[in-house]
Amino acid sequence: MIYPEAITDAATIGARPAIEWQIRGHATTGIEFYPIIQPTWQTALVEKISGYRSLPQNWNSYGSPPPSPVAIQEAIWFVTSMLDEKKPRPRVTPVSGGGIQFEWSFGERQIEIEFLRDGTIEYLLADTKTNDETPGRFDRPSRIDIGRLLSWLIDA
Amino acid sequence: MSNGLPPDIDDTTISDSEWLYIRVFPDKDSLIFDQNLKVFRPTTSALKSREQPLSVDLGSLCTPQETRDRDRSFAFHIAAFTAGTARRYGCRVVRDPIQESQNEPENLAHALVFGNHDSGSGGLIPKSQSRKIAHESRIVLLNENAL
Repeated sequence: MIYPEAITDAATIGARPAIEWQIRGHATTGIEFYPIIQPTWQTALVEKISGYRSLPQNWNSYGSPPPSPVAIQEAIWFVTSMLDEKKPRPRVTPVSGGGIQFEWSFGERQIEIEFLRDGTIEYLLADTKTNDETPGRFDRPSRIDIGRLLSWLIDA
Repeated sequence: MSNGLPPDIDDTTISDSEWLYIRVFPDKDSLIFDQNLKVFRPTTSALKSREQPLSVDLGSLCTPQETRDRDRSFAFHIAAFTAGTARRYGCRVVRDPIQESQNEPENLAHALVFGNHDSGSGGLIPKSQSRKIAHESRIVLLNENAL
């Protein structure tokens, strides 16, 4: 199942989760609408990230706070607005200090995008073959920005 | 240092071959399977510590099982890397034994890995040191229920 707050979050930030509506007849009320959640990796990630709300203080056993509400909101926005099923699925984990990290590895290239506790979004492109590292920061990435990053990852 | 931490001077009594153990949050996405070495390693997020030096246990003073069992709130994986790996990427390893108190049980194996000294935080450089150390780390105690 997907948690109700996951849908709320996606709606709140203007994104479009993979939701379709099924119309069913009902004996007393006529017609009712039932949401059908498509089982994509995007919806699974939204559910996973929403679940970080229930992580306790000290979740990592080293004193870290759980991911902040703004980090969770930004990460869900990213999944629903920037990614689609044709793009590679990132590994998503909470990070010490109240953030959330997305990580892609493909061959010798790696991308990290971290949603910090204060909502800042930072990234790192790394190539283990050349030892090149390119750090950066997004104000608000566009689909074109993310498309370029993922193209760099795959087009090695 | 004035922040209650031990001086961040590399402790040369800790050999380069000393294993350092750290708990890793049990999540499918916390691990990567290294196809070449046929072992799991942690993702870089497991070794990120911006504000504080990284807490580890010295392998000469405890087992991975003891590190895991110091906190039973989750069934953690245990990752390991050597002190030599940490030093190769600019970190310093310092003993920080914990004496038993009302708040914490004794942990004589406890040590700290200091990273970016320019920042004054003591934490690792998140986007560089953590990644490089994670790539040379191995999961030595796997929680198979989290796969």
